[in-house]
Amino acid sequence: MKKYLIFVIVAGVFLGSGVSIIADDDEYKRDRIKKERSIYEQKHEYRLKSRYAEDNEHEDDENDEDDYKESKRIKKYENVTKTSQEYRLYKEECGSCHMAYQPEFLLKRSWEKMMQTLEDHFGTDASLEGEEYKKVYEYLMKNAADSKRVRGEFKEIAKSIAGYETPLRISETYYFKKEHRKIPAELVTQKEVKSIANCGACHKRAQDGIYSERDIFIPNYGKWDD
Amino acid sequence: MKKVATLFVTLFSFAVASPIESYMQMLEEIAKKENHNFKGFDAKRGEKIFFSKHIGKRGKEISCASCHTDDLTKPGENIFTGKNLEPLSPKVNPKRLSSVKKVKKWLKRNFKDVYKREGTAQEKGDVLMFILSK
Repeated sequence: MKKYLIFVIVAGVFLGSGVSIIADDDEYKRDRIKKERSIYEQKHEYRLKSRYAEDNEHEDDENDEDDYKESKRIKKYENVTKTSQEYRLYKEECGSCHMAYQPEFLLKRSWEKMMQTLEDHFGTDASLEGEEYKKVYEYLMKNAADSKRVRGEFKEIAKSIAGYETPLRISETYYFKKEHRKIPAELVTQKEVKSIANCGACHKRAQDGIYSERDIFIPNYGKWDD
Repeated sequence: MKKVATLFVTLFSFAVASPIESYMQMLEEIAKKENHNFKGFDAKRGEKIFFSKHIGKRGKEISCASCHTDDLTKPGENIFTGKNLEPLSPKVNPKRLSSVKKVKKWLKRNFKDVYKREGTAQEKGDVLMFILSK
């Protein structure tokens, strides 16, 4: 009997150390992946920045003031949101089912209402709890269109929301509707797009907050020239 | 003497369990309390939960497989938004079932989307068993 017990203990210690080594190895791998990813992201950001810097240099040659303005705006936008921890959490929590729409699209009161109705979020349960709820809520409040200076289409959309309205869909706002009114319905309902809420299907850089006309490519149609 | 040895082994298996295994042990405890005939989770029952269709929260007939597809090793697509979903099978996608927090969140949300109610401990365990088997 004693032998049996000793055997169990020895086997246990053996197994235990083996498992902890494996666990350590996993953690090490995870750390490495994290590190590599952050290096990649830094490089990517640097590339984007230098590209805009080039754009600025060529501004005189092209004599395209709009492009210059836009590149400046993009630069500014990237500095604000893309690097933050909060952005990553927001993208993770909200972007797993649909595009993580930029908070700059709507006003504080819309996000407030959105966060109070997550249990029935356009017919889906999107409930959040505890720390995650709090952080997403804060991120939205901090970056809503009426919390800071917004430009371009963000500004236009915010301006087009009437005082008595609290839209939950960006696509319900007047400016959004005006900008999309000429697009044939079948281009929106086609399976590659599915719905007007799927920004990234046509606005190729939507996730970066860039909705300029030259980045539009509608599936089965092509470039869109208004 | 034998009792001591078994106790030792049980304690040890608890200490070694991965997060998802400990979560399933927790579900098992609850399932036992809720159903006295409960004899452990069953991937077959989980499969049925995964594939059976119901009028979901949006009024459309759906099952878990509507978005996650019939083959858990393949990527899926959210049928309402078109957003891509990574494969559910932990064998091809090691990120799956690695965080208990996420597992809890999505089981709650997706049961409500398909079944319009939360799953019981037994149902949750069965589905997890099924996913782990794929």
